[in-house]
Order: sequence, then C-alpha cells, then structure tokens
Amino acid sequence: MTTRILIAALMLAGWLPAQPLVDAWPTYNGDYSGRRFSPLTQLNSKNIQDLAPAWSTKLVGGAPASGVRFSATPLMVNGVLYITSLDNVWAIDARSGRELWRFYRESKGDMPRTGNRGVAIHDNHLFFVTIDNVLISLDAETGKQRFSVTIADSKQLFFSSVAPIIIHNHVIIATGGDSLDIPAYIQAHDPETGALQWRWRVTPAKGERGAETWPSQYAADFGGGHPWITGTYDPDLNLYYVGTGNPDPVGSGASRLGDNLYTCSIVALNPDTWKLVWHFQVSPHDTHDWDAVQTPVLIDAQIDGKPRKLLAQAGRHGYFTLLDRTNGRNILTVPFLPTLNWSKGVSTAGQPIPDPAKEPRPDGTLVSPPTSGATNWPPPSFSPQTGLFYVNTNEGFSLYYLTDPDRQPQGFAFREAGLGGNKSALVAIDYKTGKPAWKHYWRSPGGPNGILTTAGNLLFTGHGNYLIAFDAANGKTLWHAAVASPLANGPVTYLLDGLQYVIVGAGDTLQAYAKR
Amino acid sequence: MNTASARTNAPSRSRLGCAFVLAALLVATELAAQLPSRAAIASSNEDDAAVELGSALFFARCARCHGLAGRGTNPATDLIRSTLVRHDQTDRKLATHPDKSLTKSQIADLRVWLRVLLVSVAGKGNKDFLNILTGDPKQGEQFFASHCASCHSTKGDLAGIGEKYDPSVLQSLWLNPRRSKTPRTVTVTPPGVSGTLERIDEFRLTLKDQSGTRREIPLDDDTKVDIHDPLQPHYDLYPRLSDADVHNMTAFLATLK
Repeated sequence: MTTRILIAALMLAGWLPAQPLVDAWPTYNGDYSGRRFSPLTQLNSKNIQDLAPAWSTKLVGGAPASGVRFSATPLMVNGVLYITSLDNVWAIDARSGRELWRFYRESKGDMPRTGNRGVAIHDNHLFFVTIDNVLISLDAETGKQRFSVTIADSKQLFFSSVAPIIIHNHVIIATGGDSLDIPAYIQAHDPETGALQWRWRVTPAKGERGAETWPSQYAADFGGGHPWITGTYDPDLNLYYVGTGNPDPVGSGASRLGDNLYTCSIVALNPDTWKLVWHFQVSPHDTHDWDAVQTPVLIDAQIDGKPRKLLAQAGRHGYFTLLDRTNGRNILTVPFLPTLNWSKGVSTAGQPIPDPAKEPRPDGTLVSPPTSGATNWPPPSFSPQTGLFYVNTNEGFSLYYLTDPDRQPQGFAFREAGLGGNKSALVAIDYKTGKPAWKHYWRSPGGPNGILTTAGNLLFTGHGNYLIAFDAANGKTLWHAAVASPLANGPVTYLLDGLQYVIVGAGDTLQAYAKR
Repeated sequence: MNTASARTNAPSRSRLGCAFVLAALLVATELAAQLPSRAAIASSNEDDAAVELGSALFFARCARCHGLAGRGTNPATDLIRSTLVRHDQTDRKLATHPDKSLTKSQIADLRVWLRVLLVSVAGKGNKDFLNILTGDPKQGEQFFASHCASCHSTKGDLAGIGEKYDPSVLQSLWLNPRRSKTPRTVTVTPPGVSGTLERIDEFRLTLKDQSGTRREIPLDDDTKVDIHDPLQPHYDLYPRLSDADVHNMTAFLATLK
C-alpha cells in the first residue's frame, strides 16, 4: 500500500513520473518523457541469455465475437498489471499472471474497431476510453465502474482508442476518426467526476492564429487532425506535447489549399490553461494519410557544452525531426527512409516541401512510403545511455489513386494499391545528426512494433512471432523467444520482489519473462 | 431502412431514373466520381428498391440546391456534413424546409439515400478508380523494349494481357506480379545449402532442396542468406520510375489485345 500512496502523492504533486521508476510502469510510456527507457540493469547485455519465460496468460474477452488483440501498453503498479483490448480491461497479478478481475462493456456503432492503447492510473482509479467514445473510470482494486462520460459523437464516426494521461488533476484524452470530415480535439476531464475541464480543437476557430492556413473557416471546421496517440510532458516547463493527425478530407487537398494548421504538427499545450504555447508543423498540407501522432520523445542533452531541452519525433511521413522543446524551434529535419520520394527537400524552417506531382492522381502516383507510413503509432525509444533514438521502419511503395477529383471532396478522396518488395528495418538514429548509427534489416517485412530500452544496454522489440533483445549500442542480436502472436505496442519492464521482469502483450496472450 | 415505403410508394423507374443511369450519363465528368459506387451501395446494406427510390427522388427534388452528391452548393446546403443527417434525423429539419410537399414515405426513402451517401464518403476504397489509361502507348512500348523485353514478350507471356485485366489491375500487376508463379531460390551459408525458399523469418528458414527434401535451418546474425527473387527486377524499378513511365507502360500493355 505504501507504494500506491507514494505514487498517488507524487502524481498529484505533478512531477512524477517525469523520470522512470524501477518498481512500476505507471503510464503509457512508463514515465512522462516518452523515452521508454528503464534504468534497470539486473538484465543486461552480459546475462541476457538467462532471460526465460516466467508466466503466460491467454485472456478471454467479454464478447465471444470480438477476439482479444492487444495494442495497449500494460501498466504495472503495486504488483498488479492493467491491460486493455477493445471493450475489455483486465487486472492481472504481476507475480503469477492470474486474472484478478475483468471489466467488459460492449461498444455500439458503425465506427471501425481499431484497438485500444490502454489505461491511465491516478490514485486508486483507472481511466480508459471506448471505441464508441466513452471515458470510463474504474476502481483499480475491484474493477467496479466509478463513472462514465461521453467524450465525442459516435454518429459522426468519431472513435476513441488513446491511452489517457494524468497531469495534475487532468485526465487528458483525444479524439480519433477520419472516416467523415470532423474536427479533432484534445480534452481534459476531472478525475473525480469525469466532467469536461477543457477542450482544445486542433484546427483553429474563426479569427484564431492558424486560421489563415485554411482557404475558409468551413474547411478548417471540418479539417480533422486527430491526435490519437498519448503525448509527453515536461513538468519543469509545464508543457504537454502531442503529435496531431492528418487533415480531412484525406488524400485530396483541393478544398484545403494551405498548410492546414495545426494538423500533422507537434503542439505544446499548457495543461492547466489549455493554451497553445508553440507548434511545429512536421508535415504541411498532408495528402497521403500520414498523420504525425508518433510519440514526441523528450531528450535532455548537452549541445556545444550547453544543456538543452529537446524533443524528437520519427514521423509516419519518413522524416526525423528534432526541436527545442522550450520554444518549438527546429534544430534538424532529416529523412530516415532511403526510398522516400514525395518531397522536394526540407525548407529553411525545417519542414518538408511536399511535391504536388506526388499527390494522389486519378491515374495513380508511385509514392514511398505507403499510407501505413515509414513508421506508425507503435512507440519508439530513446536511450540516454547510447544517445540513440530507436524506431522500427518500413521501406516500400504504393500507388496512390485520387478517386474524388471534386474541388470540394469529402471523406476519403483516394485509394491505395500496395506494391511488393517491402523491406523493414530497426533503425538507431543519432539524434544529433539524424543519421543512422546502425540499422538492422529484418529478414522478412513486417511491423512496425514498439520498442523498449534499458540501462543494461538492451533493446527489446518484436518482429514476426518473436520477442527479440539487441545490444542497444551496436545492434547485435543477443536473445530471442517465440511469442504467441506478433507484438504491437512496446514491451515494458519493472522490478518486482527484487526480480526484473519484461512483459509483452502478444495477440491475446500476456507473456512475462525474468531471469531464470 | 424502410422497405414498406419503397413498396407502397413506387414511382415509375423509367421516368425518374436511378443512380446507375445517372452515373452512366455522367461517366465522362468529375461528377460521376462523387456518386456512390456499386461497392459503396452494397456495403450500406440498404434495401435495393429503397435505394433506387431514394436516389431518384433526391436527384429530382433535392439535387438542385444540395448538389448531386449532397455536398451542397454552399456550406449551408451541404447534407454530408450536416449533424442532423449524420444522426439520421433529417425529418426534423424537413419540418421547416421550404419544400413542404414531401410525404412521410418519401422522406423515409430520402433518408435511405442519405445513408448511402454517408457510407460512400466514409469508406476507404469505397470509390471506383477513374481513368487510368492516360499514358502514351508509344512511349510505353519504348520503355518495354529497353526495360522488360529481356524477360517478357508481347507475343508470348504477355499476349492478350490488355484484354484480361482492368487497367487498375493491370497497372498493379506489371509493377508487382503475383508471387505464386515465381518461386524464390536461396543459398544459406553456413551450412551452404541451396533450394527453393518456402518460408523465412528472423531466426528460421525453410527450403526444399534439389532432392525435394524440406530442410529447416536456424539463422543468426552471421548466417548469410542469398535470396534470388525473379521479381526483384520489378521492385528495383520503383525508385527509378517516373509516374509518366508507369502510365505509359500501362497504356501500352492495355493495347495488347
């Protein structure tokens, strides 16, 4: 109980988990930084051969029709793991893998059943969203519902999958959905009642800064930009960083000529005043469905002898972007995908310059990357020990066909024909140059999957039906284990009863590993 | 869906026409692309007769202000982005609509068509391909001679290919031919074994050697795996192709009838 009270107190104080904990994994990214780096060294590149299965639990969901498929990061607090799949939340004994309770609620509506990225924990309460747009709070001990509030309109095909994040007394979530042209929101709710505290719309309202990047207010009002992945937070600056989604309509820019702020951007919001403090648009005027929701990772560095607060993102559009996170100024923008062919280079402001000739056309344009992106939502990792930013990538081409050539297109205005010969690689990027320090081409294409690094000079990730450990410094494969299904989200690690565990969600199975 | 109204209120189809007839008339124009494809209509799961009635009524009575695809002639008349339409509560709005002559059953039919329009807009890949044959077949022929003729022949393996496939399929197919006809061969060192590649992942490879024996070989960082993929020349083309090359080649292949 002491740990729980301590965590609750520290969370309320608002500065934890800015640094990684060793005996818990209490947020989506383990801490606020988005690094997914653990200071644990019990497992390390010297003894990794001793890592062995500890337990494995196949979870059964509430509805027979909907199979369990994890795309969530499990949280671990005080010996209990919390994980979600669509419509289901489980509490699992972290020592044995035994199910303690399950909460189930069936979602209704026509929205796509994409996935759920997990819960947030605050005090002794859990928070998660449903695909049909309800924020639900549960008692962490019993799984009993505390409250539920509707967060968006399902009839407009909003859908929600984000793992909430707690900052101060705000449960922060965001909308998803780009089937119909709808506005996108980041919003905060009261952790006690669920009441809406504030709502920030990604596209500007009339007269607001950024509205001039749309041809009309009408275009901005239906301009999308859903920030559907959990952001990161710097307690010193009190800034919440989120990557926003692609603009609507998808695949045609005909009715939204201009940069389309604040879509495909990294935005820095004050979580108490919900004011936009700065923004950097990593991909102006997207026409390829490449959202910029990939985790904005916080890096503390020494550059030219001076301490710097930085933020790095490897984007779905194929560029690595490094910013000063105090003010959003660009430090470097470098492509990490060798096949990338849709831009004319990078502007002096550090933004890719889209090549209009590579927008979708009725007769098809040959573009790299495909719509699934150079990378996608599965989380990257940054190790302060190696100074490397790790991301799983896909090299490939697709034909992009414009199917709605109207000057006022709506919804999905294009379709894609995927091609062959794709290659996938785990890339370790030197954040100071944007260049790869090492690259591991997988022997078969797939992924991308999430990544975890540790102070034991280890990198864990999945590929195919394997969990794999690498030497984080040089990319040598050190260890692997077969898993039930491909992983999606990243592995997590923590110390429990003096033993370092590694946990992965593989399909419908939660698997734990520890030193034998 | 309201099939009852479709049965009791059936107007003459020949007089009002339907979406397909209209789409056929509009086929040469951009407007055709805005109308729901057959695939979109099918995926809406609405009753065929009600869809036909609703669309006919829509084109006859609503399209003048709300546009053929319901997108409006100004923001105020855009039905696709209307919250009421998305909530399927169009009848509420129609109570204050300037045209008071619509009957209840007509409104029910219109709601069916509006649901089809929403499905059409919202679905990935719900819309049909447009004109793909924009390239110059002559230039495509030159490209073929310089890039493809060493492996392929227009009188041999590609004879009649333009007849066999729709242009959208043809374009994907020549860039990315089907794997089934072209097995990959592989040499793995160590142990220095060759054969037909059956399966490969990060740590394991399965091949069939010359004697027909299936062998499973474990892989690590130091194993050299040389794969010969007959399709690789196609993949290697991608970074070097202009979009004009793509369209010219497709246009040329489409002439092989």
